[in-house]
Amino acid sequence: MKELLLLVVNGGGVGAVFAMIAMSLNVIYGATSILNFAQGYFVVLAALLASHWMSMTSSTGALWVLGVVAIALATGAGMGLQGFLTLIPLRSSSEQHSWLVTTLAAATIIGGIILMIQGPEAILVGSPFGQFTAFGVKTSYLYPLAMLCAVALFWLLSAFGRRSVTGLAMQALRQDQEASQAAAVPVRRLQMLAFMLSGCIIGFVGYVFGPVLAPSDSQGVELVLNGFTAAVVGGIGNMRGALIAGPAIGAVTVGTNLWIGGDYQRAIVLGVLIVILLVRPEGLFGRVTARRV
Amino acid sequence: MMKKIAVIGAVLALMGATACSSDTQGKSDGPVKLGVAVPLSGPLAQVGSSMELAAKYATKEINDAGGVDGRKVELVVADTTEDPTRAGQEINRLLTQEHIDFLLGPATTDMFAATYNTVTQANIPQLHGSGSTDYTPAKAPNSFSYTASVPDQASAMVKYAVSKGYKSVAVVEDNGQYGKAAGASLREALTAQGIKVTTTREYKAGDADMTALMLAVQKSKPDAVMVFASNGDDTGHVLKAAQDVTLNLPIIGNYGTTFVGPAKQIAGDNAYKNVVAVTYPGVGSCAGQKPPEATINFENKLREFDKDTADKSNLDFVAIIRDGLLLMARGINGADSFDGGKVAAWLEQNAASKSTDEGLINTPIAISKDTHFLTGADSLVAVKPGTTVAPGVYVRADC
Repeated sequence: MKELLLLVVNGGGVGAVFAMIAMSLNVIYGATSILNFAQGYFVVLAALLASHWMSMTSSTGALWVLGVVAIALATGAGMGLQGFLTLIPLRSSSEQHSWLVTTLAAATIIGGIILMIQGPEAILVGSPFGQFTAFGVKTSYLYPLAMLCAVALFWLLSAFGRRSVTGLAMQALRQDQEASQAAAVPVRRLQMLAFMLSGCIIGFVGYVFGPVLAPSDSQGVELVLNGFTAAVVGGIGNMRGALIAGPAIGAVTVGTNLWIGGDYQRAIVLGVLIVILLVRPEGLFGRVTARRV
Repeated sequence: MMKKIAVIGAVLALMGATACSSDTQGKSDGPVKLGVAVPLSGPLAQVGSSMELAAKYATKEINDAGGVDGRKVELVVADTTEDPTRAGQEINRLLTQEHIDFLLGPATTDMFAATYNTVTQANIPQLHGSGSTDYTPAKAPNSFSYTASVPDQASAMVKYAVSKGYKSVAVVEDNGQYGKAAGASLREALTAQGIKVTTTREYKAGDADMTALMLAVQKSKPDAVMVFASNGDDTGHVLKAAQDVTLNLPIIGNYGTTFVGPAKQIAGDNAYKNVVAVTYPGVGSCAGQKPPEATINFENKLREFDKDTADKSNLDFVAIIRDGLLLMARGINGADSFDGGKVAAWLEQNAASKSTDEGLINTPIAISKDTHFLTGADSLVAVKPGTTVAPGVYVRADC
């Protein structure tokens, strides 16, 4: 039972965090076809802001909730700025790949800022959510909360994409940017909005789930890699796929630790990724779409 | 004809300049350059920051005592990021562009393996953090290690386990070359003593949740757990996971587990309740005895020097590097040369005999023709890192 608890709760919980990162990657990807490599560093940055906020105020009560909102919005604004800078070179042509360099540069800069402010130590983030004991194993309430939040985020993003005009316009961007532009959809504004929305999600994740991520300047890469793996396994751009792939990856990670050893953790997760891409290049839930050329 | 003379003249001038530069390396009137190639970012940045502190403090002490070769020492710092390619590039830069006279770093076996050939060819004295015995004096003749060797730490850990009568242990190690070497040494030493290894588990450095790993350890039902860690964050996560699965077993750690500050921040104040770790002799004291004065003085002066970094660092780690750098400086002065071979020969001859009277914290020094490790297995002591008898001095568990 202990193993099952760890697989489901710890594995599923940390995987749900990967799923939320994957969904935030999908938000940007859907509107811009850009994979933001700085995403993981924004999680760490939000955790750093959370740590400072809580040391000044409180890690419980109304001030904690106020902190969630403030830091999610601040991270959204920060990623919006990154989006603005990333999108500038794309004005001349959306076919170029300058975003590879700009998002990597943003990752490096944010990593450097975190190192300057925090130093090399892991960031300790407080939380109003304690631990509970089941079958003799103590674990954090944050894990089941992460699963609930991932489901809620999926539902909110799905509703936004289907029921709001802005969401529908973003869906149109995903299908064909040029046709959307021809139909007077404000492409750049929506793309900026996608960056900001993604930043808000990431800010929330870093603030609330920082305590179970051990964020540090060097963890940004790990977080974006895990998010990216969840996004690709689920089918890039597919929110439902990310929601399912994230916890599955988390469970594989914990299972590897439990039965094989932590040394093989990354190798096995990447092995799963390779196998899935070989069998289904579009990911588990991705769709093959025809394109007229 | 004139053209030919000019060409010959230019070649001779160039040869003269080259010869001059190699002869006078470290012999000019300028400052002596100590290269510090350590991980200031990445997973071992905490270790790198303590190494930089040790280098700065030792430099101050060396300069206050008159410098090296009568000249002041200045630091040139490079960030290896714990990446072999980057470490190679940075050490090359220190050697070819900064023209350093001696080197501190790199911090780990993985980085040392990638760079020791370059440093050996440059023929400068080096103090590094590899605990591997693969790099013998014959293989890396100018390089000395401040850390206790992996087999020596393993031997001290097993010695403690034997003294407590444990019949079986589980081994937890990180997945780097250091951890793997540690695991092999531990298993060898345990087998030699007839102690059964119930399981060996590797963790990925920087992992936040090690509950699954510690549950696997618990299920193997050992009498005790041996942990070989590189830093305080990983130690903290291991100890937190041990608490989460209610693993109430004795834990015997290497000296990496004595990074108490960061570990306690992660795992809480009770984390060290069951932990005994092996460390350097200068930071252990038997209960009821007066703590070593040199250590107390060092602790106070280090905090005056840089309180913020000192508070985040592990005293025994900073102290052993400081000792190593003082020995390097004495080696250069004693050999009257920056030539790595001559300095090594002087240290092999004199370091052990001169170590007790020259203000070093961790004595005796083990350096000889056969070993370039500062500390030998017999010098290591078992301490309770959770209990101090004075700031920075742990109560010994083997008195």
